[in-house]
Amino acid sequence: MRQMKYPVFIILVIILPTEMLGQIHSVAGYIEDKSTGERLIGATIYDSLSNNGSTSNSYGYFSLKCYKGKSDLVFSFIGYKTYRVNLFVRSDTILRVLLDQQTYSLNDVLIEDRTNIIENPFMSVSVLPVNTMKKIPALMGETDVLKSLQTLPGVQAGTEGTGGLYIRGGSPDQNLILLDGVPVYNPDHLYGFVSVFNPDAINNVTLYTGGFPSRYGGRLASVVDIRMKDGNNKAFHLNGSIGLLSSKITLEGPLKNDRTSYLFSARRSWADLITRTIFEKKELPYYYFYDFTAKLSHLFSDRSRIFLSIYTGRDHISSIKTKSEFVSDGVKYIFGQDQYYGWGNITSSLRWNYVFNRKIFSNTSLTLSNYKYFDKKQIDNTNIILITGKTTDYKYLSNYKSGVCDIAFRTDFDLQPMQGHIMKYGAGMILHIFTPYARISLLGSDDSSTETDKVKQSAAEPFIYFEDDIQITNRLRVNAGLRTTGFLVDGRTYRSFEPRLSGRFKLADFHALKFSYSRMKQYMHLLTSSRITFPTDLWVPATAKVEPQLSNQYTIGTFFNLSMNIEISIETYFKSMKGLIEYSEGSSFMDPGNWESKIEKNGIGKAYGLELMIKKNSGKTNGWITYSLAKTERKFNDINSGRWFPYKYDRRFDANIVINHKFNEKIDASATWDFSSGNLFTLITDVYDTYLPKGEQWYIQYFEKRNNYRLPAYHRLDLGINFHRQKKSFYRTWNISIYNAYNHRNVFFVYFGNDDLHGKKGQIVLKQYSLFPILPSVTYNLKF
Amino acid sequence: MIFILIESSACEQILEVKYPERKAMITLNCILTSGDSILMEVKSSQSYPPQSDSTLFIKNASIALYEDQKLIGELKYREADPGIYPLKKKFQYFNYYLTDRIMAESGHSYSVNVSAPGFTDISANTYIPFPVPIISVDTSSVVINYSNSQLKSLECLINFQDPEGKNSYMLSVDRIGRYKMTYYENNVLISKTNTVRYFIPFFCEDPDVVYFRISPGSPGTIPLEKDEKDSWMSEVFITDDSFKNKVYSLRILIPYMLLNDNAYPQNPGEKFTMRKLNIRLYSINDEFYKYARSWYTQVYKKNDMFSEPVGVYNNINNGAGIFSGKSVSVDSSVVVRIYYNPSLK
Repeated sequence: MRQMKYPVFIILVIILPTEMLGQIHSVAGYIEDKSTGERLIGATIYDSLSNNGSTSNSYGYFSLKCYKGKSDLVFSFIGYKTYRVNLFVRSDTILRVLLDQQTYSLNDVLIEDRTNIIENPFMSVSVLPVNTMKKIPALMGETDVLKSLQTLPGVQAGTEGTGGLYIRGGSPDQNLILLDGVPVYNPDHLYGFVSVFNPDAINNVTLYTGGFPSRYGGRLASVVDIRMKDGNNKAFHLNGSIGLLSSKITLEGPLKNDRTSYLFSARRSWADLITRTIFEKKELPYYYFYDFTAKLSHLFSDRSRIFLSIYTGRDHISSIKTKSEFVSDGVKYIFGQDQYYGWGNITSSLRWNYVFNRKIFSNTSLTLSNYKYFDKKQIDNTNIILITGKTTDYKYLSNYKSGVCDIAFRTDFDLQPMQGHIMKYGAGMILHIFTPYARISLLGSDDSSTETDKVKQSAAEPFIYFEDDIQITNRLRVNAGLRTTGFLVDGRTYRSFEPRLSGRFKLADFHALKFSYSRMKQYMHLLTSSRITFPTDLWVPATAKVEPQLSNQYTIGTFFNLSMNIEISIETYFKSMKGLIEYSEGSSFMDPGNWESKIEKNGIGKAYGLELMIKKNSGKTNGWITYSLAKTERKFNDINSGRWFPYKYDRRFDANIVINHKFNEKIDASATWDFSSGNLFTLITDVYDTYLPKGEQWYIQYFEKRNNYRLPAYHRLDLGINFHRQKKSFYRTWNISIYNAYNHRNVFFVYFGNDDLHGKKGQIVLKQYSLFPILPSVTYNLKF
Repeated sequence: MIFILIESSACEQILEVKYPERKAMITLNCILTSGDSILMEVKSSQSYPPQSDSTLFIKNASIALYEDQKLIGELKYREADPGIYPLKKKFQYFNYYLTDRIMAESGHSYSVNVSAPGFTDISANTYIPFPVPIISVDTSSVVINYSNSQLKSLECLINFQDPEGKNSYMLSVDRIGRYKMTYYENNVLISKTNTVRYFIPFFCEDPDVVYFRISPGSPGTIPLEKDEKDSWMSEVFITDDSFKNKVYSLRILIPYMLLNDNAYPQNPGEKFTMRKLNIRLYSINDEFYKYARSWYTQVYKKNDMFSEPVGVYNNINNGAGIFSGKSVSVDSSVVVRIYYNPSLK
């Protein structure tokens, strides 16, 4: 409770004198899409008379302090017509602002709001509208949220075709991926080739790679805040698509006009349905994935609204079923084996938005996130004595699971107590239940012998935060905050104080300098192989023996907003990390034993780099170019002889070019080119022999340090073209994409093997495996 | 279908690896043993993959050895006697050797500088820890489960007091034997009796020990099976992380069948083995422990594509290998019966 007093005290001190003056009132409310009722996140509100401004929060709510009397309010949002209203403010006022979607001419297609880059105190933040994502050519035509983010500066991909995010020297577990505020622990379908987020159900995606606001915490590297659509509360809409990989359908509409809306979206891969139909009697292995998203929202009043959202998805891989039988010595033996495995997430959230006294916006939510990996194997053996007919069954069933489940409650408040201040504060509690390993084995004809081997760990993570966005002068604006957290596990309590600071200093209307500092603490680890990422990777908590992860990140940058809607940003950062873990040398998830005995603890890391982005926001031709120069290293006492070594995804150079061109209202096209330094690989360079300690001779494989060899650079060109047409009753789009247009063989993985390709079987060579050649695809989209 | 598509489109090709410009390194292997003469192996590394199985000896190196920063001598190259290595001349292979009159001693630090034409000079430092006495060895007969059968075994509890500071240990068990061998040399029949040390494999279920796995089926090979309890050990390494400054009791089990004289390598000629078990507890420094642990792990895991790469611990500046030290305390209080054909139970 002592922790609570501090922010409350500050709020009271600031509010009371302001209210006593009686000259300033709140103008607050929601900004919505006029045609769908969808609330708009990040819309800008500006009072041209007082030069005071604000933006709508993650729930479309804004609050602005205005002097008593005249105000000239301007509401704007990317893709919408600017709305201007003159108000005479006599008292606190609640507005519901409806913005019209912009009908663009050929020359003014906007891909991102351009004013924010100078005004916003935050840096290292990108907002990528779903419409922009949908234009980016994708593998097999599957628009992918996470892969779209890989085109942004500071974001690197993992292996070929996958959606893993490696941000500023961080590992995938250091990304907090939120779907409507609920963490998603495994965002991958199809081993990462497709992300679990169905773009048709997504409203907005915001990526933070540094300068984190204090309302976010729990991960070191990034926050990917994905907000689902609320559902159209004006009219029914249906859209769907058929692609090479999957098909999807989305329905949305009002249950009660302007009050209650729903959204259902489903997606499923369909290849298995065909193979299982064609090869009906052959028990071939098959793979499918699906996801289902639903959201229900109800408006009780202008002040009160409730949301219920649910996501569930699963990947299922069934291996070959086998059955064989033979007769020997008058006994018929029948052997059968069946195995399947997979993984899936379930997330759900119940949220309630409420506006207190027209000044304070609150969001209270109860959320659940459950990730599970499963592997089930069944062996049935039957022996039949042919003469007597006596049958004996032997059964072995193994059911392996691992996963993590979070149940969380949090409440957040937004208010603008006085001009120049926008405050956010809140608190909550997360209950984590980790199951790194659970296996139930049934043995015997009657399941009489049951063995249960289970490792389960629970932990509680309370948190409280406060942040204040302060306009100190016209030039200087800062966002300062503090987040304090705790973690109770194994009878031990960890505590953390995480100060955050972001600021901008405006040198001119088109030029700003920005700086930020963030301290982040992460109480969980993903135990993953440095060689390859699997769904079998284990989420484990910090324990009494294994410390949590901690990072300090410092960033400075300069931002330009030039004519012709061209933005330039240059950022440089330094990040230090500690409390990292890795599998010990020679260990793997295949080894038996407790996970804590297989890891190296208390690793440290550092990452630094320079990121450049040039973006053209509008026009017939628009897009962006990014370039990153980065270095990241790690150090553990018992890895690499205690010396620093480069992190596997240390890529010195990374560049992306994204170009969109609109030929006319019916045809537009896009191209992306991705280049990055190759992944690192531990290459054995020498051998030497030794007889120690007892006299046997063995060769020792020598490499100077881990990850000592850089594989060839990765580069790829993707092309896409869309043909749009409004039919009588629907709007259709044909999309044709070409992945890897110039058919470059990028490295998927490498290994040492015999040179059998050249008939030199005795010679050991390094082999590379490439995955995707040139891959054309066609997708058909329908919208009713 | 996705996998069929990927599989059909995926391809494998030889990667043109541009190996970094590397020249061969001097590799040095030397574990100084208190009270023993000093010898080292000095060889050249080979680029990977190796072009031959032969060892690349460096025969023209200059080696200077320092004790407590004072030069105590230069090591000379010699080609050791072939055959079974004798007690005082342990290595049958080619090596550098310092005269028998100069012994390594515990409690001292040592450093070495090695140079050879065409190679970058190397250097290394180490120290030899003091021996830790074995307080006692308690024995009893037990029956253990082994590969679905039972083995009557000798249980030994080796008790020692861990001194202050960070300490590591190596433990091995041996018996001294002699055998007579005859052979012709220059058309002259020579008869000779050699004294040898036979290492006795044992089981050790202590979870903290590091060991080189010996396959029971074919001793000397590395077993691939995961059931490590069935692995025999010829020596084990352990640090004092779990028993700092305490009396520790290390438990080993020796199946009686391994005390059978006939279980030892079939040397030609008459054979006689002494009845005393020599239980040797070596005090080793941390570098030797790290070297042994990493080397064993690399040998065991090098073909496991899922496991993390293992770099063998190396304390040689500008080169590779190990320069370390050990001192030993021996308990010979356990006397075993002579087993020629013991039953399994």
